[in-house]
Amino acid sequence: MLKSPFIKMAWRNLWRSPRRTLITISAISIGLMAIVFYFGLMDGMNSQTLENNIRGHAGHIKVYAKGYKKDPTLSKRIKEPGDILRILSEEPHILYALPRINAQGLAATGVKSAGVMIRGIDLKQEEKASDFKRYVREGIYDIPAGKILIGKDLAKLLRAGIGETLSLIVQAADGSIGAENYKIGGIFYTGEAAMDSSLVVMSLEDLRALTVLGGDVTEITVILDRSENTKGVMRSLEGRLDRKGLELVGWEELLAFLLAMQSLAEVFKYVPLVILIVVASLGILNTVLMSVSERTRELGIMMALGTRPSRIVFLILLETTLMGIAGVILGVTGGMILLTYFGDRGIDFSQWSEGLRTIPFHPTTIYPVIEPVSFYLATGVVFVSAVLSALYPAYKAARLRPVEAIHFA
Amino acid sequence: MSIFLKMAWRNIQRNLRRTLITLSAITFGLSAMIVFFGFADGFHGQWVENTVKAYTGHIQIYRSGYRDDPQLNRSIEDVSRVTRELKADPAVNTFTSRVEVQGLISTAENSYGVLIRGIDPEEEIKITAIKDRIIRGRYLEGSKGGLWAVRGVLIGYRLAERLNADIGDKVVLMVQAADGSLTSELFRLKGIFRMGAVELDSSFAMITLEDARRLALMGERVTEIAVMLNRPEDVLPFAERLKKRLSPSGYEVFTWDELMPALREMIELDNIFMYIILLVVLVVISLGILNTMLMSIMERIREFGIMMAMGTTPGRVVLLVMLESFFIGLLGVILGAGIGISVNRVISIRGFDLSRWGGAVEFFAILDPVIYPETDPRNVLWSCGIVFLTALVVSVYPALRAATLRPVEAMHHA
Repeated sequence: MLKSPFIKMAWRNLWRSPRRTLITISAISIGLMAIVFYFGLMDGMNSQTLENNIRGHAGHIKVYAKGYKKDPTLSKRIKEPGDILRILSEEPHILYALPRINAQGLAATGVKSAGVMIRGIDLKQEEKASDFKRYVREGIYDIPAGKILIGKDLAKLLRAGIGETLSLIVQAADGSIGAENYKIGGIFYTGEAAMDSSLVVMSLEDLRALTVLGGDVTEITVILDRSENTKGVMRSLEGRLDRKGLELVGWEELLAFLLAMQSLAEVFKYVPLVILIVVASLGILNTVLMSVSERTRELGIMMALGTRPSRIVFLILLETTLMGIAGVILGVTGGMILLTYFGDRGIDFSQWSEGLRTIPFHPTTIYPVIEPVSFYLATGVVFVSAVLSALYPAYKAARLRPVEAIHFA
Repeated sequence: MSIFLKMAWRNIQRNLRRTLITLSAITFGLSAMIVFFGFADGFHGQWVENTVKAYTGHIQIYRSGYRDDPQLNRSIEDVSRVTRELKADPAVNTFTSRVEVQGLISTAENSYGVLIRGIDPEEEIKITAIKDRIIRGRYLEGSKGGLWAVRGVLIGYRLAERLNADIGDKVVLMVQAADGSLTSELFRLKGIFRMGAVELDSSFAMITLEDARRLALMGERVTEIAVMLNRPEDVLPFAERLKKRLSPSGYEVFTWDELMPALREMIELDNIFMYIILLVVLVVISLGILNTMLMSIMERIREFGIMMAMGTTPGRVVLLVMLESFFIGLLGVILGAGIGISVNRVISIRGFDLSRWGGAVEFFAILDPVIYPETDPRNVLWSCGIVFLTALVVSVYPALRAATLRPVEAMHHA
């Protein structure tokens, strides 16, 4: 079918009216460029938010004692986690296994108080594994025993600054009420509303003492080399940990909420795509239709000389395909240039940082990066719809009656 | 002039199919944008309304400085000073006094940090839909029971799950009272609500205003007074009015968007994205129109040559071409706006159910997974305006091309 005279003819036909062809190609390429960039922005936003959440608090996998997920109390804890940490550290793909304690409590200064979540972490190890250290903006991250880190909004709410004393009151593992005074050693600002307004961080040892937990922890947060390995690692660990009365939760479940939100935001991705494609296709339909009607005589002569209708259809579709290819090449190039430019520099959304904070760990500077799926989808849909919009004109051309067409004014 | 109108009108009918295709591109693009905006506006409107109702009201009044540095002993003492002003203003629909204080809720085995809200059960339901959102147990009543009765507390279903508590269970609320001491009191779980917003359902506890005052040793004080107005548009002028009257007496007045900047900013951000989309759609539409106009001129080169040879001035030729585009733009705008607005109307009769995205909707919009598109006349007007202007601007180049033809050459054009 791909006979060279047809390609040559289609190519020459396009340049008989270069302005028209260029305008059509630019409609395709501007539309595609905008879509590619826009998809890159959305994808970048989603993947960076996910990554920040995984690195910031969730981890790829959490190990809990059975029942803790449903009912997170200190009584359902991981007893003496040494063995388990060893198993985790021997597993391939696991970069870090971080023992943590989470407890609910009340933080109070002399005059003010707030409900807080208290997290005990291994400061040394978390420093390497998570982003947390870079969120500490005042004071220091490496706090000694007896000192704590608190969120910026909590500090504001309690009117407490570095060096001041805070009382923490918790319900300890044995049901008794434990209370202790701590000095504020650092203030963090993660940009995530709930953490900044209600999290208190201290060393694992201090929180164990406060909650009377002995050597136990409430969770182990596991960080992997790559998110894609989550399922595999979970499968490999499941049996062994199950025997020890533990359960595993993957990031897709931990962040189910965020993923659900992102899927809602997909509406913002596909609705514009559809609108653009319909509008662009109507433009192409019109252009091709006109270029066919201009050539009525010529097409009539071709058919009178023996060109079969199917060949005419082929010719018209080929012309549009060539325009589509040119449009796609230009559009993809333009889109990629935009993505590279802004992908390096990032786009600053900090003017709306309060709004972005409602989504946990949403970055305020977004680096657009397009996912392969979005890229092929955008390019494919634009190209196919461009070619399809030539179907009707091609059909019209093939239905011409040679004798009448030759006598067309 | 009138003959040009007639000519332009007839010219666009000469190739009816072409005109219809161009028209449909404009119509589709415009109506799709109107529907898209309608959904977003409806969504944002419901979001604001529900959030405002659940949290702040349209306006909130505090003692000066309290919002910045909430100390219970610096809260509102003289409630009647404020309510006098509110009762006198016709813009006010309803208002209620509240006590809000951070605290800890505990069962025998579990405790969580919560925001404890003391409400007037009768007044609160005029603002918040809380009473209809009780899924188990009952709503609060005015405190009758006397000193010995155990008080009732309402919590969200997520918090109830976490606390593993059921109706009738005993819980202890602990707060830091106005004098700085820690106080706690036994309550019975009276009702479990499901407001639909994660924050409300997982970290709020509601008790009666009297109970909250007693628990936090507040005497007759309240921390804030929430006001709902009859019309959301009145928020700014009303807030200005109220500020003038109350700030000399030491009160501060906040509007909902000052209290919840996050909400306003998210809506702004959504709108910016939509404007960018609109812009790209416009560019693609205008390239389509440009192509059509150019081609329709190329077809008529001879005709223009004859017109000019017979004395039509270039200015008139420009006018003629632009009038053709004017008609197409005008028709496109009328059809597009008509279809867009009608689609919004039809969808908003029954609403559009987003609940298959379940969890996410709960985070965004309190209560309603069903969106009712709203047509904001301003959005319709300016998107129509821009589409119409685009049609005109795009025709300038083809018009100039036609006007600069040389009559003799043009007449001999094949």
